[in-house]
Amino acid sequence: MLRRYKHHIAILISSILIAGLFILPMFSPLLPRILHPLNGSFGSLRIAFLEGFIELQGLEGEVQVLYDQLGIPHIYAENELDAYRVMGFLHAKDRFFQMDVMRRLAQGRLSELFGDLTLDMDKEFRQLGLYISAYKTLDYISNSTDFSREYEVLLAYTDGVNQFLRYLKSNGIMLTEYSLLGVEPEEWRPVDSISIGKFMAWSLSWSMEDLRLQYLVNRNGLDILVDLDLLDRSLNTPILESFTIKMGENLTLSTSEKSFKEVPVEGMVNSLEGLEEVKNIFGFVLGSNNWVVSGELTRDGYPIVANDPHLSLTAPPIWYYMALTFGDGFKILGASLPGTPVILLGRNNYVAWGFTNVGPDVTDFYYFVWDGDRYLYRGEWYNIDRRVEEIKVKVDDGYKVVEYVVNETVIGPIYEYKDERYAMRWTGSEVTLEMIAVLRYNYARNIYELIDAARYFHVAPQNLVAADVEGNILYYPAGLYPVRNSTYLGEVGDRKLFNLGFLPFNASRGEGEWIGYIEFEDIPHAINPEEGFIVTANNKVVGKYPFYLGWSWADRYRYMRIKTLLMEKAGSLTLEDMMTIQIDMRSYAAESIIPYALDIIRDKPLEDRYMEAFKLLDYWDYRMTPDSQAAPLYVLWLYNIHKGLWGDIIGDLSIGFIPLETTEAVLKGYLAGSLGSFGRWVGDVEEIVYRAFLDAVDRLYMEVGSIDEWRWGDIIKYSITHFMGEALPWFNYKIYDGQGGFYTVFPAGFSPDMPPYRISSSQSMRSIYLLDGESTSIYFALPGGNIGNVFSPHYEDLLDDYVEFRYFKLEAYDSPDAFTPEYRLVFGGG
Amino acid sequence: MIGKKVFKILLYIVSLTVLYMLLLDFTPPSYPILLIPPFIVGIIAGFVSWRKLDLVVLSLIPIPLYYIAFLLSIDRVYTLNKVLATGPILYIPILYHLFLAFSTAILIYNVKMLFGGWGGSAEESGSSQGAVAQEG
Repeated sequence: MLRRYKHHIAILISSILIAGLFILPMFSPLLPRILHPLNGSFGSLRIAFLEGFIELQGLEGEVQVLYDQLGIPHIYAENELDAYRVMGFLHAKDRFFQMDVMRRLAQGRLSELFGDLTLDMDKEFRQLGLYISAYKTLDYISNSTDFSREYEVLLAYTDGVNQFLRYLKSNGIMLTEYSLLGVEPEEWRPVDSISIGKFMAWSLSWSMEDLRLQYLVNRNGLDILVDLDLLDRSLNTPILESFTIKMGENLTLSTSEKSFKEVPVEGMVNSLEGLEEVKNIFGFVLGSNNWVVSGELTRDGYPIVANDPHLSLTAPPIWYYMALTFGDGFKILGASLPGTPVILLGRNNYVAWGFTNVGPDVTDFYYFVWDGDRYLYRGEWYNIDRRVEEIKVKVDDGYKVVEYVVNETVIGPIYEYKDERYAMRWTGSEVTLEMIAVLRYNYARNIYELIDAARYFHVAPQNLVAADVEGNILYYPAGLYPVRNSTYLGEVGDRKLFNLGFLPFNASRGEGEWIGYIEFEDIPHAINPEEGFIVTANNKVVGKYPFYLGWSWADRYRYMRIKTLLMEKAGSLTLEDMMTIQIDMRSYAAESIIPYALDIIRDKPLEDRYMEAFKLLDYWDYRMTPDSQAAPLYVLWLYNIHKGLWGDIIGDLSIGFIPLETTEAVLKGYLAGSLGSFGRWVGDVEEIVYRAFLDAVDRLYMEVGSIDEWRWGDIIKYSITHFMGEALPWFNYKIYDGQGGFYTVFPAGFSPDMPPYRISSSQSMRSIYLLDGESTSIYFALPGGNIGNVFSPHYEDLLDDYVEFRYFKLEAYDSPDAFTPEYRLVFGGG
Repeated sequence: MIGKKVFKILLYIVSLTVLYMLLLDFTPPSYPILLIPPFIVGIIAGFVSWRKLDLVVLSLIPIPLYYIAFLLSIDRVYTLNKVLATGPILYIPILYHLFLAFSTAILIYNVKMLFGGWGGSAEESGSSQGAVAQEG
């Protein structure tokens, strides 16, 4: 019977199966996106190996792009606009997803890609209003004849990005990430580039330290600010000893009436932590180093610039190296920031420049007298302005729209948590022109043209060090530094304390108004300093100086170590010396603290395993190399000491809030028999240091094993992940043994409380520039690969060399015929 | 005779593989159009099959053959490893296409059988009637 109907049965079953296979994807959000293996999820594969001729509208001449063996493109164009148009195309080809995530993050539009997962983050950024200031900035640039050249560059770049997106569409290609997300890549706009710049500026300069400091004062009183040297940071070592301004004395206006108030901030401090965490995605976490030495201090008689920004380690890296040659052989090469038409850190034929973050106080919080939703501002009542933000959130069958109301005052957006309400003002909320400045750095022909360009560098203030082929060297921490109408807080000992901007202000009384910015000429700087070199490592900018710049400087340890190493070889410094310094792992912090800590517990009774651990540190060379056994103990012990000394004082704040220099001073003071102003704040120092040691040893035994198994490289790892790496592990980089520490020149940022550790931030690149006037080249290393396409052989090919401390030479040659590329793209106008 | 048959099958396999490749190239990655390539391979496999074995061979071989050729064409070990590491995103579409092609081939083949082989020669059709006729 069945045999008779076997064809009918087969037809029936196969029909059901076919119908099922056609219908099934309708019920799955992911299936339709991956069912076309080649044009869909593997579209990126085609792009990874794209070569040959590509038609690009708007070009005036042919543009050749030669990718070298490191995956770095060398662009050869007849004019600059052609070069930037192709730059846009290449950024998009090799890093579009990264660019897209960054612009959406800045604009509070990530949920259009990731749905509810990123909705809270979007709300935070809508509140900040970065996109609003980006639009204002674009409007300003596009309407100013002074910036018409830069605006044309921005338009050409934008067009290049969009032509790549059109190339994808016309060839039916979806990049992997978009195929999986089920979203079409959206067109690029000039404001997107500015938004990315704004995001970087925000991550490098926006801070809630005022609220944290208020929290600390609420818990401990105003005295703590002075006693722990938090404001003056006299234990820090400044980049410049002093600077005399041209305008006379401090212009700050002050109130005479005592105005300190214990305003509640506890909820705010905790609720804003999430926003600060976002900085870890792409931004500033740890610090940076740069230095410049004049020809007088180098063996070969020409200046050298070195720079290693310490940022989050991501796959792909933040930086995209490239070399542009156009016109009559003008060359710009270095680290570009995908999504922006600039070589942010690099050099041209004539000058080289590098940045570290200054980290000044450019964010203020203000409180008001409230009457419902009305607030008192300078004696008048105002109603809250409400800005309704519509956030598109991706859902299975399209988008939903979530409305988010941002409350604003005349000062800025309101941040609130229960009854705590503060308005925020940040320099980056205004029109800022740092993109103009960097584009002009790219064209500068000597340090004086760099200075002219630096006038436009607004946010985030950067320690610019530079040199030119004429032998000049420069230090200029260009940026906007607000000058506030300060307020009298009260007396601490015999000192009258003024709130210069480090605590929230009472806006109802008109306190803390910004009365301008420090004049560009009055910003501390140095041109061809007598010492012949300048080092910056996020430490204090200047010692004696009439204006308030900030207080949250990085501890001096990296700065001191670099300076020491440079001075050891002053007069005979070479490229190799610079490399050795950049990868130095001797901890100046350990060297400055551990001998004293050991002395404090030297006479304490220690059982065998503790004594064995003690000896490890006693004979340690302070190098945080992968093989170091002492390094993990040092990290945990120092963390325990620091926390033991300050844990009760800081409450919910992160332990890093108190400078390590303060702990160093306490230990040294204790041994010297005088704790000075620290004395009233710390408990039994000897007991704290002793207990901290025992606990560190015990925890290492528990978490890692016996002392023979303590190896720094086994405990700390590089595990660099992609933005979507949790869901798509093949996007993540290989895992390597880590090295370095918080305070070493070659740094490692991690959470020190519980081993094992994952390095979240370190050198995001390292570059060295020789200003020899001969070759236009850079020696560099990159933590990953230059190309962000996961299928490219250059996705993570430079990581081995980065970890092993090897450098590559990137040279911009005069002609495309001067070297053999790995592959070539030729762009011609249509 | 056997050689001719084998040659014919190989010719069909290669043709179907090339057809599948071309269809993939020209099909936009949007659902449901993206399911057309394996569907067409299945239709042709079902139509030209004259034995159940041919049906299996013709509908199941061209698709993996294409992907094997594709992977072999990647001469970079790094890229090949990355492609293979993509796991389900690589294997799910292949299996899905395979399953769809096979189901379609079974449908067409059985419809053909039901209606007497659609004019194929007794020798070639391989249908039960054809086999009986040959034996007769």
